[in-house]
Amino acid sequence: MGILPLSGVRVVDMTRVVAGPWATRVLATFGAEVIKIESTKRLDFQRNRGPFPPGLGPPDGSAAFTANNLNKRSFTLDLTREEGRKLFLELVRKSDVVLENFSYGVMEKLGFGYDALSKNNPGVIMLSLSALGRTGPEKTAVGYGHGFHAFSGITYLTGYPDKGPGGIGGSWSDPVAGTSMTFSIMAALHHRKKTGQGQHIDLSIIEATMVGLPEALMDYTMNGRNRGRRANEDDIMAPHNTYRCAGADAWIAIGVEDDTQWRALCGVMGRPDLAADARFADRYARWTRRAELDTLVEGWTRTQSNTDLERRLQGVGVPASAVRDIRDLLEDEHLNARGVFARVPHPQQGPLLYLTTPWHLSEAKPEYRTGSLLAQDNMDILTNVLGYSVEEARRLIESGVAV
Amino acid sequence: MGLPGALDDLKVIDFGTLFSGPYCARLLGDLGAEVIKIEEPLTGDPARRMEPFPHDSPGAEQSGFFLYSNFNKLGVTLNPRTATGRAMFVELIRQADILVTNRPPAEMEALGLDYPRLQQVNSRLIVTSVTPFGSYGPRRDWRGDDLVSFSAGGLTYLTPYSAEDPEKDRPLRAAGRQAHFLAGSMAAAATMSAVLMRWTTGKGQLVDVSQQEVILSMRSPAVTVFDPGKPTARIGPPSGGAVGLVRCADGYVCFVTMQESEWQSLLEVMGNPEWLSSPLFKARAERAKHWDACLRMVEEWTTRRTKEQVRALCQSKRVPCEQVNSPEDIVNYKHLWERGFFQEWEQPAAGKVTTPGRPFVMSGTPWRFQRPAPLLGQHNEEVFCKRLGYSRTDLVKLTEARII
Repeated sequence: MGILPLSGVRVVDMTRVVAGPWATRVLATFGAEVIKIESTKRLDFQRNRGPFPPGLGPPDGSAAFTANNLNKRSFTLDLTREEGRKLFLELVRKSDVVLENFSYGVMEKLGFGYDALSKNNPGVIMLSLSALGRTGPEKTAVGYGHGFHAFSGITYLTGYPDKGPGGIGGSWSDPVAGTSMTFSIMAALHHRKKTGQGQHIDLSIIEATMVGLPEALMDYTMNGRNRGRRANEDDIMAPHNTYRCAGADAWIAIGVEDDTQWRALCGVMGRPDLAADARFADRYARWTRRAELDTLVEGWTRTQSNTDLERRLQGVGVPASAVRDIRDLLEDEHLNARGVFARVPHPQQGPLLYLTTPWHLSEAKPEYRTGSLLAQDNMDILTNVLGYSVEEARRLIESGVAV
Repeated sequence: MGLPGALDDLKVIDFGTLFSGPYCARLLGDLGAEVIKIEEPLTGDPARRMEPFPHDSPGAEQSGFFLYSNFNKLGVTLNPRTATGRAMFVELIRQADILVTNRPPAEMEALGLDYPRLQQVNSRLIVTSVTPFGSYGPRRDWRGDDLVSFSAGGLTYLTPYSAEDPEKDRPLRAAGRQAHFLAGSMAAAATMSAVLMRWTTGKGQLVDVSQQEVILSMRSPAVTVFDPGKPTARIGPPSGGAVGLVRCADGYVCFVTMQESEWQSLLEVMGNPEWLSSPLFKARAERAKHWDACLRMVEEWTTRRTKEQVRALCQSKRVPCEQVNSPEDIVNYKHLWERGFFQEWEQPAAGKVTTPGRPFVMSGTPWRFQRPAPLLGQHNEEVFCKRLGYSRTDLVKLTEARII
């Protein structure tokens, strides 16, 4: 393996569930040595997340867990014991970054607050992840993804105008915050290369989500307008919707930005009359008659294949995409040509397909492996990272400090 | 000022329009990088014509959307399709660390401003390209807006999760333009990975971000656990028996009882109602099968309280629960103001502006609002005269020639 952006960076990762592990997985695949620390009293409960292949179960059988923990090492410590806490501080002294998402105050109680860690290692970069941040009246709030979507306005604003809140499918806030985590940590690492100084990053998952939905909040602060659900309607584009195609649950998304694209769409529809129709001749006219346009377009798409149609529309410059399911994505020739999936063996689960890095660098070639099995690296970390003799390490493991 | 910005040694050229590129460049500027935004002479970034406008009063210098995506930047106008304009662009590139662009790869090639050519000008230059389908591969020239990116990446197919009948209820994007903003955030992270690598190699590189993959990457386990026999379309949240979107007296809340202990705490909050001892709801697996019926029973309790009361009672027992907030609820949420999430500033055309602010808080190198979004061409003199050595009379001629 050649040089990677985070080669030589050691990360102590105490985060559990989704957001933190998503972020440290990105750091690990870009070259950081990520040591996932779990308390023997409380493992990351994502290890219990099914579905499990036949005959497999926790702690190492969950494919969903493995997918969010690629390329990481595993170290277990009993942090209720003095000796366990001492080992943790020794590890922090030899590390560059520490991440945690415990409830407010837990790290301080363990003696691992930022002040303590930075005294131990002035260069350490610590990131604390939480629902609503480490200051303010709601700093103790707890939560998971769909609750974050609810707080941040996504659930309220996503849906059909004539129905209740719809809610986004699948995970969103956690990896969205994970993206900001990777950005802030790498920015802090850059600063540290210049100055040697570490710092503490306070990241609220909900705030990191809301910065991506500014229009609705600004419409309120600027105009007092409390926006509601608008399905796929755009501020000005029309047609702009998902349209039914031939086949079961088959749809195509089309968004027409300007007059040129509108005429191109009419061409593919075989409707030169629409292209010449003054009622649809400009953006404003089309937006005003968007409901009529949706009926016209869907009347045409419902007899067409969505994959055939996206190719024909994109061929003349009209933004369009079949509404893809995971099955379609796995078979997607473009994604496969770009190396978006990697097949990686796992000692228990066998070879499975994983997503690679969320962006590509022309000069870095990451390699992928599944993370270590639970506690697999205890001996190596005790001896090679912390410098204990094999006998001492064995005693720490057998006495339950580093099981 | 006191503390430095984490990126205050970096110079960024923002050669993007509308969404992802400009937002990426702004995030770098927020941490102290010097960002020069290049806009088309006369017309500027099309984002200048996008709502919301203050008091519904449109104008090129007061688009809320533009003001949000472009603060912390210097602004110049430049037409790189002219020979002189292109030469000036290349001069700016010579002094830059990072070029951010969300223009189509074919357009950058036609302008002669693609990565291989810029690399010859400045070998330390990092070029961050963020496009709907990436800058290489068979579909690199395909177009896409926010809806198309969400659909191509697999998220529209699942949204809204509460659809009654997937055959009738059409797939939706998430509200707003979150695919674009997230792509901008991802591009900022991606750019930093190249900056860190440059410390070792001394060289720049091409950073490629595809919006389709940005959306797909939000669901990293989905690819791995994909089961062809199991339908996934818009029929309930992925964690059956855990996510409860329930009605209250004045709206909705959403609780998430991922762990059994959290469900037990919720029962305690509700005063351990009798119906829950029914075998239908007692064991987790059974409860998941009868989840809708279970939620209707929970609503017997929640609908007699406001969403704020339900949320507070739940959180007091550490039950993960949040209100389904409208924009109005969010802007009036006291906690966010106490934490300083919102950013308020004065801008000559728009007056007082209030927008979301920082995505995170850094203790040593604070996120900073340093200047409002530039007026069109506001810093032409500062950039072209002070950095590139043009005189003020040159600026007059360049303006008349419609190069700036």
